[in-house]
Amino acid sequence: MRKCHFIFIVSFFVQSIVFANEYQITHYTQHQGLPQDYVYSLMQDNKNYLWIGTGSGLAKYDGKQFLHFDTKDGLRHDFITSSKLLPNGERLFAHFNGEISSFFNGRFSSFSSNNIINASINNMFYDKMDRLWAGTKEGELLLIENGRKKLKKWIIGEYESINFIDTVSSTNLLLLSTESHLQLFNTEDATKKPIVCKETVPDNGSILNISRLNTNSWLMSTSDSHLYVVKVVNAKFVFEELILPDFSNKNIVFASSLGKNKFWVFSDKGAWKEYRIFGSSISLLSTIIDPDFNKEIVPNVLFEDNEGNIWVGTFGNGLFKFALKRSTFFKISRESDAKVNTLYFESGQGLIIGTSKGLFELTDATKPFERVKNKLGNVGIVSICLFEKDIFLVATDNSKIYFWNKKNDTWNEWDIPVTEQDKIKQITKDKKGNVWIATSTGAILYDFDRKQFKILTMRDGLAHNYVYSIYPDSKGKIWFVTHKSGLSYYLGKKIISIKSPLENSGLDINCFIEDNDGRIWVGTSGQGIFVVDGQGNFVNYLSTKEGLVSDFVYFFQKDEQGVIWVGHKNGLSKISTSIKNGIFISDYSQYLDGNELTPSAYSGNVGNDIWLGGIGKCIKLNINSENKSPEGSYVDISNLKLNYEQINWSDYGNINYTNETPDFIKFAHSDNLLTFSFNGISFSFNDQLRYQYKLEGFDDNWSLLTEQTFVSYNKLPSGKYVFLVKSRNYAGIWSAKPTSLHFEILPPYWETWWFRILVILFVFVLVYSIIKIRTSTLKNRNKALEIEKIKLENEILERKRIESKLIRSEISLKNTNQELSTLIYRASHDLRGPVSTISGLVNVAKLRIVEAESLSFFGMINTSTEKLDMILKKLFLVSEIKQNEIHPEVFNLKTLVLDVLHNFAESIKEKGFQVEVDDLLLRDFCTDKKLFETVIKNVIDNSLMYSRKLGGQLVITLDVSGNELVLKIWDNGKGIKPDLIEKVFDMFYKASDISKGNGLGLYIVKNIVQILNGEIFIKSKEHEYTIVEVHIPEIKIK
Amino acid sequence: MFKKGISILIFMSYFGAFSQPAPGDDMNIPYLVTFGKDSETKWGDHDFVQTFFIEIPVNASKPFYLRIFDPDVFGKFDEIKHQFNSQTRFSIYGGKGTISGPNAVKDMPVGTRQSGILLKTKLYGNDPKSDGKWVTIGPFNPTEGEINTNEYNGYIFKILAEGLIGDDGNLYKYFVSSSAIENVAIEGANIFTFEYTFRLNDELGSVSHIYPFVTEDVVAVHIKTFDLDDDSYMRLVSVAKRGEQIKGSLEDMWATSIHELVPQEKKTSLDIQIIKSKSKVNNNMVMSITNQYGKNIPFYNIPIGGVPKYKYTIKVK
Repeated sequence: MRKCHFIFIVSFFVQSIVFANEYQITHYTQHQGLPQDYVYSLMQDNKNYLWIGTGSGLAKYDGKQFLHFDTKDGLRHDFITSSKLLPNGERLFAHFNGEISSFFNGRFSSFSSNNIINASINNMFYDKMDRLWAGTKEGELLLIENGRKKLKKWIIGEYESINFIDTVSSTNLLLLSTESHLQLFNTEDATKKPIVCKETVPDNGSILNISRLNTNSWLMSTSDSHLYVVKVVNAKFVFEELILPDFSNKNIVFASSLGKNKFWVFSDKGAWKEYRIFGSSISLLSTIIDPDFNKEIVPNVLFEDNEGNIWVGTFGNGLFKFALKRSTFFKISRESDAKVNTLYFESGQGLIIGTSKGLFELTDATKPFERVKNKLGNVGIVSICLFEKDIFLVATDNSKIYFWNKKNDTWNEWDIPVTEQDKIKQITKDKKGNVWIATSTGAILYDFDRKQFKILTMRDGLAHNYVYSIYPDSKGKIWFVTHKSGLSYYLGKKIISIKSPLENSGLDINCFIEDNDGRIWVGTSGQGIFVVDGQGNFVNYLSTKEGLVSDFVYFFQKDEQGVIWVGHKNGLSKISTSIKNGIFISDYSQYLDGNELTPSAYSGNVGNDIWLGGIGKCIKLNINSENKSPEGSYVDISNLKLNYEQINWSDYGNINYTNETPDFIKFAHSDNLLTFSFNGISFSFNDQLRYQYKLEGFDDNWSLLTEQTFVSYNKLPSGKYVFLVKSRNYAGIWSAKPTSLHFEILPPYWETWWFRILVILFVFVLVYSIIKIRTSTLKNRNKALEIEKIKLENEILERKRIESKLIRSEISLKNTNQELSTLIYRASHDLRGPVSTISGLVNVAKLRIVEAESLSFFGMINTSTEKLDMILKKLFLVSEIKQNEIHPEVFNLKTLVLDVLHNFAESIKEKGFQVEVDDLLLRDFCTDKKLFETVIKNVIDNSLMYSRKLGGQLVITLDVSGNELVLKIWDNGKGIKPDLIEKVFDMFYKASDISKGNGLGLYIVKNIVQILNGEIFIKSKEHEYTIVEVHIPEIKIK
Repeated sequence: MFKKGISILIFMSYFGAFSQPAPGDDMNIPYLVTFGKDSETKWGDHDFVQTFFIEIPVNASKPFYLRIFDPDVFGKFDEIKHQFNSQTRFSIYGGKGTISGPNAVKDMPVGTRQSGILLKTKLYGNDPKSDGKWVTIGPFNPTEGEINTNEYNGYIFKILAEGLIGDDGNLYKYFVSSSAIENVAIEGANIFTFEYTFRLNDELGSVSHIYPFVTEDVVAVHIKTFDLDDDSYMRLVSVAKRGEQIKGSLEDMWATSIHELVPQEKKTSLDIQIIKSKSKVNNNMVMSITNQYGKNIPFYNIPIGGVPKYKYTIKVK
């Protein structure tokens, strides 16, 4: 194979002053929690966790503690040889036995279903086509693709371990490194002739380590302590040897790049150095002398986390962290109370500061500021300004200005129109090159074209003659800070004032600065910061409410990124500003470590560094380290407890979470006591992380800032929630995006939609059923009613029919009765004539016939005729009674009774009756007299008819109670058998066969009593007595 | 088996063992030898492979290195045939199978001895940069070895020196060191083999020693030698043997000498002495020992329990 490399010695130079990075070193071993002191792999995942692969297990580090994983947790082997983070967040860990473990969604599994090979996997590379390449210690190159099942294998190293795999940019080539060779592997033609170029190391050395230096080159160290930059040109290797400054006579045991042209070199004598290569120059960035110098520490892996911390995994000595110090303090030699008034930094020339005790210069970053020897001695310096190359204007506090040629060390006083009583506060140059001098008597302009001074005072429009500071902006405006005055600037030979934005108050201005958008920032004493746009309009106002550390602004500085640094007496604010992205303020006071700043310590040119003046010292901020983590620290929700107990989350889904929390959880209604543990993942001042959390769906606002890393919520109602947590790191930067955990507390069954629907359905069904049943019942009832109705109608019809029949019967009966009455009437009336005729004829006959026997017959005929006539009379009476005609009249009862008795006088006498009549009969009474008389006659007639032969008695009593007449007729006749009493009122009923009556008397009595609305009662005891009691109401005549 | 391991531990702790070079200082053997596979076996190497094992105690936590003196096949230390055209590959194995592999401890070339997981390989040929110098391979993590605390005392590594090409003899030495730049012994570590291929001293009358360790189950040892060339006289010394003669092999031949052991010799090291009796120079030979069952017995660089001395007994009549 043709030699395709050449050796090129890279030249280098070192600046006259180099501000080395200063690191704070932390050493982690098994005592601090590492599984083993042999570290083979370092990887930071997408949650910022640092994964440390050792020969005895895996550790996950969050900045506070190491969490261990081994085969019991699902790792395929305890020996980790390499790790790789895939774009989807999957973490791969290669093992000593040739297997690869995958950690994804909180669980370990085998990456490949194909058990790869019985060889230790040295390293892995994941290409843009989602293919995993792995190199083994036996020199095999493995390719896993096609769903991680297909395995291809090439013997590359001829039993030499493949130690490094990387892609060559913009090609299909992989760069492979074994101990003795570099090779280019064509991934697109892997089946035919995959090795495009194979090259031995210069001088046949063996490769110690190789790592990517930048996009197109790699850093290679060899066992004979040579360093090379390796490039690939036209599929050939090109080697450029590096000669390191400050590294002579040392054996390189490890060298590795972290990209971006920076690399670290470790010697066997414990000197660890950081370099930056830029073009053909190499600069030393830092030197770390291993405190355990004699232990022969062997670095094995180098890693830079996203906060800029450097991690060195070693072989047998654990893990080192190099954390860049936040700030570096440079003391002023022998003048600890010197107040820094002004500072000036020029690349390559060091830092010059003017203090209250004279002029000092920093020429060696490892030493304090030394006094610049000159004739001024310890006269206070108020301002320094670069006049031209190597020549400075230096203003003193005794009102003099000198031209200081730093190169020649010559001092010439400038003749300026300032008296000794005047105070010079500042010197500056505008963009035209003219010099401005702020004095206590006005602003002095020196026009270099005209070689003359011009003094601007209140007459010219200055707010006050005492000018503290002058600031020329990029547009040619000269801004003035005057004593207790407003805002004004000089433009076009005139001074323009801007009205104060404050009512009834001017601005107490301290300083100005122009941002990258051309706006002027006005720092005040106690009034915060005002921002003025190019048209002189106030466009913004910042104060402590907006996050400023203090409203007293000492000075501004602006770095190369346009960030504005605001100095306060005991604090520092950082303001990232742009019109497009807005303003973000961070508190950087901790960078000062409690040091006090001086008000006017400002320099216009400090490179990429921020220098601050203090008392007896200057402070250099190492803001580069902070730039690594502009988004703040990620917060991991590391644990979730239910009812204060650790939960096996696999119960909440088909998952096997290992110390991780699932993305979404559903809790039962009763599981509503949740404790969230969270953890800011930061490796820089982790103890200074502060947190805010919020439970969306429950909390309205974020919590107060807290150090506490857990929070409990109790009795959460059902609903969907998102737990959010964010952190603020030591630099005051918040997490770019809060970490969230979504969960849901399920409602009780009675609040679930399905239950509600069921209830609605149930109610619906119930109502429907009720309606249905009711309807059915009503229908049945209707039907029954219909039937009933029909029945009733039929019944009514029947009744009507019956009624009709009854009516007809009644009519018929009435007719019959009428006919009967008519018959009775006719019979009794019409028959009486012949009867009377017969009786008359008999009587005539009896008068003419003398024959006894005939007379006897005629006598018998006459008796019968009389009986018949009597019957006819009574029937006639009955017919009259049936007419229901009442003819009431008032009559005397006694008289009536006596008249009736008088009619029976012959019979009474004949039978020897004893008659008694009550005295009360004298009372008048109104009723149908004739009918009443008929009643008395018939009752007395019966008493006489059925009286005893001897000793008969008749007692008649009349009593009137109210309007009712009570007639009692007592006799001691034969009486009536009890069973016959009910029948005595029947027509033609005779109580005895021997009765001489016609059976009509009591019948007539009862009918009369009924017509008169009265009542009749009979009491009788056979052979002893009979009482007939008649009650008749009196008729009222109107 | 467990008792055997315990006894080894006891002996080693008694001795305060430190890792030594191979060949050991007490052995008076100048070099190990591996010939290129194109060599004739009568030059003293029957299989062109030399297998050694490193034993690192369980409690060792610091890395160790394998240092090889003169690993190349070039220069005054190596045996040339016509011109140097040989390569030797040194490979270090660890992990499962390192010593538990089916053929790992066989003295004869049966199957592959490359069981275990390859940790490091270095190929040496005509390489002036390593000629006559100690070179370092490593570092190694002790836990990379195969753990075995029953028969041995911790993590076991295997070194294979394979003569790949050529017909020259590579003479070299090992040192298991805690330092990459100098030979610093590791407390409790040892190096052993089941078959020794080595260069004999040229000096007439010089005595070389091999120290196999006899465990309790051994009642007889079969001492096998190859290509001794009748150059030296061999005898067996132990706590019970004052110098039992061992039958040696002739050129390019194997010879087996069987020796019964008495109970006092169990759990002790034997001292196989090779006494140079003729003036032949550059003589290489192979030795291995098996027990009565044909199982190989390891040679330790450091005689376990110390160098065996015959214990005289006074018989009273």
